Amino acid sequence: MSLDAVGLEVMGHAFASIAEEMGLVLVHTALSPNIRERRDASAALFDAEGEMIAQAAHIPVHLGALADAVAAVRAEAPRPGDLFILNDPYAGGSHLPDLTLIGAIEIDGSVGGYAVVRAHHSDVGGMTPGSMPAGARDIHAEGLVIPPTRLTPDVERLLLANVRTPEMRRGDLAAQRGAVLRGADGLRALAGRYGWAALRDAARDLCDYAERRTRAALARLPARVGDMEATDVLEGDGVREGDIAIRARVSIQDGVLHADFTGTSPAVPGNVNCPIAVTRSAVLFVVRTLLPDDVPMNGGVQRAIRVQAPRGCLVHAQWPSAVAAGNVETSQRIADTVFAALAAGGVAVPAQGQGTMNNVTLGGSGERGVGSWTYYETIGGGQGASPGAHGPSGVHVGMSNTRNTPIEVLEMEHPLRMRTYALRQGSSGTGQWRGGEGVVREMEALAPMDATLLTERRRHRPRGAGGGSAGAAGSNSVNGARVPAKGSLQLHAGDILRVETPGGGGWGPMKGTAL
Amino acid sequence: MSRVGVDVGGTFTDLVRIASDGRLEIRKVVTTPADPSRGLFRALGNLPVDVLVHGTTVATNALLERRGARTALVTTAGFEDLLWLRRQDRAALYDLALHHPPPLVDRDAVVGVRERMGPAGVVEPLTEAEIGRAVDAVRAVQPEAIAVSLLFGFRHPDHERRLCAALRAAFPRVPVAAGHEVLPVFREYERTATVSAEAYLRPIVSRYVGRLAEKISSLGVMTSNGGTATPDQAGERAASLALSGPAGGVVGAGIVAAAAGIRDLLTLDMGGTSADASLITDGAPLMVNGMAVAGVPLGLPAILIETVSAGGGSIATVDEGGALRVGPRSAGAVPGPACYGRGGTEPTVTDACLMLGWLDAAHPMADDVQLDRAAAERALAPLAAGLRLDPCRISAGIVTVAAAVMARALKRVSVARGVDPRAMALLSFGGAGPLFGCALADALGMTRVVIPPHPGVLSALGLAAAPERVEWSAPCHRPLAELDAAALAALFAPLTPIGDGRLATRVADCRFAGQGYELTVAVPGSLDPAALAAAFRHLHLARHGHADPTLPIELVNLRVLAERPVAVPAIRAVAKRTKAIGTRRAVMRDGATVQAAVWPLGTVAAGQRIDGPAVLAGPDATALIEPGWRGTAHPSGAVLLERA
Repeated sequence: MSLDAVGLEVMGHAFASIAEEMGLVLVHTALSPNIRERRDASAALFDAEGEMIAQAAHIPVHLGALADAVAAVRAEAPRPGDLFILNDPYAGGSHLPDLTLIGAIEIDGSVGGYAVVRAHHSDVGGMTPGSMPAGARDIHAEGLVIPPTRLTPDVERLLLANVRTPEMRRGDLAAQRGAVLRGADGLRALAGRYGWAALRDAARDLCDYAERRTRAALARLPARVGDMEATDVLEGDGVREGDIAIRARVSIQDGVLHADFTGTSPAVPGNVNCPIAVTRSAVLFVVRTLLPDDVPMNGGVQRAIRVQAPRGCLVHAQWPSAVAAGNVETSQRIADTVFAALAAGGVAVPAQGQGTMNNVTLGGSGERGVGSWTYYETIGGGQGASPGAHGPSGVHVGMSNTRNTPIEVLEMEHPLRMRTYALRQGSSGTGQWRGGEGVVREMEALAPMDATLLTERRRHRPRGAGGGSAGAAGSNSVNGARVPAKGSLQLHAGDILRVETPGGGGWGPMKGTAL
Repeated sequence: MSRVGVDVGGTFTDLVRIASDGRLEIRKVVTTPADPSRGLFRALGNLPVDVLVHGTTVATNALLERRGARTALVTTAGFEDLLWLRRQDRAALYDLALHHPPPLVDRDAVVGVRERMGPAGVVEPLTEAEIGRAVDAVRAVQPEAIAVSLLFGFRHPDHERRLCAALRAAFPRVPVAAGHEVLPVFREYERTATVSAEAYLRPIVSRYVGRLAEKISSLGVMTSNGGTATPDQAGERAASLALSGPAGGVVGAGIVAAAAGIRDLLTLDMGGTSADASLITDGAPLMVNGMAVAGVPLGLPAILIETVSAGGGSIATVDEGGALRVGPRSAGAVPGPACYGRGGTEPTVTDACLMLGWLDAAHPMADDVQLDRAAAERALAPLAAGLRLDPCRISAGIVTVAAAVMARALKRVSVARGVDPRAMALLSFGGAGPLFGCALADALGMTRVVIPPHPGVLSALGLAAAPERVEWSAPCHRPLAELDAAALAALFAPLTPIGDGRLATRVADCRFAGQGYELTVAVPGSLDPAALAAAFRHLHLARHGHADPTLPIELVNLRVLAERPVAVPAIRAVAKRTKAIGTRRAVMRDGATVQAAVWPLGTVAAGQRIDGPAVLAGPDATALIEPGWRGTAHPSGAVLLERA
């Protein structure tokens, strides 16, 4: 069966609503603020061949990378009804806190597809509470590594024995499992209504359709092939301070975008290395921003993208490189670099946004394991201006779109007090169109705790475009004294941690200013 | 005793009067957007009225058009930007230039106050000098309304109370809305946004409702939760009118369904630019504790309504990938569908329905609009040429896609909430809604459809017949394990209305400790905590697929719902038709051409069988019974369809 114009729309809505339902079950029943308040989680539906059929719109960095997770599970000969868990960045994962549950959906006695739910758990063991240690030098220091594994009660016990907050993890895993089951029920119900063969064909047709739309949009770009190269840098890896180069060469042929990262720095000792799945995800994000809004997000979009990176380089890291910040920070810089390459080729792209997620991880061990807690948040900042629009202020840019934790939730659940949460006036780049303002978040520790900061754009400012000026660099301080962009530290009761996030770059020359 | 319901919609103002003998009088006049009360009084004329219940869009439109009062926001110093920071997520995942709608308050009208409450109480005291400074700062703003929302005010309201007292004394004619009064629940952004909306809306709502109350002695206003408020109450709960209009439709659907003995149903109100889906279980609409209207989150109890951009005026296009799309662009009321002959040239869902013979050009629409089939065909021609299909095939495609979009809203209120719709009935209303009942039921695997007797004025009917419904609630935030039956009784005591003839139901918003969202559970009459715990776990398992028996349960809010059924006379259908009034050629969704019997909508004799394909044509709406469906007229005037 080939879907006609009507069938495409009908089946697109049917699949998308299953993914939406999965997301609702997860958010409505999870326990940790990071999942229920910040929604640091994603849900998607895949077909039996491992191609994504539909996703709920959540976190860009998750969604592009989920195909690798399904591929890793398919390599384990899943049986119908099996439920897998994984977090191994070198076997389908992104970074260790992202626990991914994958259900092999039983339809007519065989595996008819996969329901996938990825959620960031705010502890999976390792050297610091929250499992985002700045000084890790290999994956094993970052927490418990779980290759694609069937999630039996025994496996869950093993997992919970290795984390600092087992009760919360157990509740979040139950919510995640509930969401996977809801996805499986949804796909089975659809198969019951339309017939399994017709449904399979419909999924493939929908991906073909998204591919057609993507290739048409890419082919229309006024790109000057051959000029599309750019380099950008990360500001150290948490172990060494120096800049780390990311280089991208981009070309578009027959509506397919090729991104080649040859020339990028080799993998580094610290935790900013990226598994290739995350790199693909960042390129996919850039492509997605170039498409009309109504193109369905499925595996068809990915077919129009080819990513190449030398094995062992920063953006195609190999075991046992540490990766905690690769997913959250390096992914941002990869997107920035690909945008910059497109701009060099004449494609109109926005000025740079804050280019960081401003990861703050806190935790305390309490007395003899009783009352131990972990907390993770990321902070919004300035979006870059676009030709025709100011950049939004105080939002997540690029690869994240998590929400904040309400101050009242934060203070009821953890020994913290927020002193200021405000827009950072004057931090945006200027121009015909202004960048967005960054954010100031200042909190007081009410008990001794470990803190880890993984931040970027603390010395290289987000660039303006078309003659607009750069946004302000961010800064981190404790009791008024600057602390490094990436590092783990101890806070005492009464210490004040202040994070100022970068502003977005401006676009175009100021009125009355000659270029 | 006669009861009147008036629903002011975007295009028409509908009035339904239920006379003391049960007869219905229906009026439909053109809405007067500048002052909706003019249309209301014109519809009313000199009809005798004992009680009038009004569904109004005055609050909704003030939010949409940002036409509310100049509002000052008084908040904790250091957190003045809360409304701009929102929850820090961007407006669109992939459109980097898109902004959220701006807050209702201007940034220069925010006054930060040095004070701080924490989870356990005072962190920084509020001094009298600081109160004086805050009052002066508010005066400089020259506000028409004032919102007060401090951190942790939901739990420790003392600072808010003192500020409110000083502000009310200083500005006796300016309404002051406070967080601890309007929405005493955690999450500072949603609470502050809600309180700001309340203040922003109070002057405009009070003025409008006050003007009506001068002329209508017994006036009720529908609130978003399906209850009714007196004019005074409406002025104090202005934000709770945000979904006044759509709530009336759900209440009306519930009443019509109940009259036909149906208590579990999905409802769909299909308008010109959008469709609203809702869910009724065991006779009661499913409630939520939050919604967003015009980009403003409102954390108030409301009937769950999911809206999608598909209505009679939605425009059909073919995109570059070859998919046929319907909406979100709409021809709206002006110029309207091409077939209205008011200047519309793009093909809409209504044009497709006319092309298919579901609507009849010989049958005038409500306000004497004559449908022009040739104009519909001209509008459809470019699409038909592009896809190389004849105009009927493309029209069948358009209605199928429109149904798919609307089905998604129905799934969001049912399947996505863990409610299986297959055993429920579907009631689809609005002028064009009953054309889509069978298609929507098919999309959800449902086998029963209700065609109401007056689908085009169902909201007004719901307003006229709505029971008086009031709700009291109080935050609780206690572990259930700490409470016994006596303690629960003591907590409920202040909420229980004094014996005034109302039926009261006790419910509790519960969650597993640590969750961020609640499920509402009926509290057993015995007030036995163990039975309440079991009921919650049972519901959690049904809705979400899991329920850990070892997890502690938290009581978040306690609520008492009191309902006084109004003495609505049995609605008498003037139902005597036993023969079709004709036949018509019509094309079905699958492209098949059929001869459909044409019946008059609402006047079919009770017990009469009508098998699909058939069309029921009425003055305010048209219904379609597709092949494979079998209808039976019910004594209440509804026609009940079942899959044959």
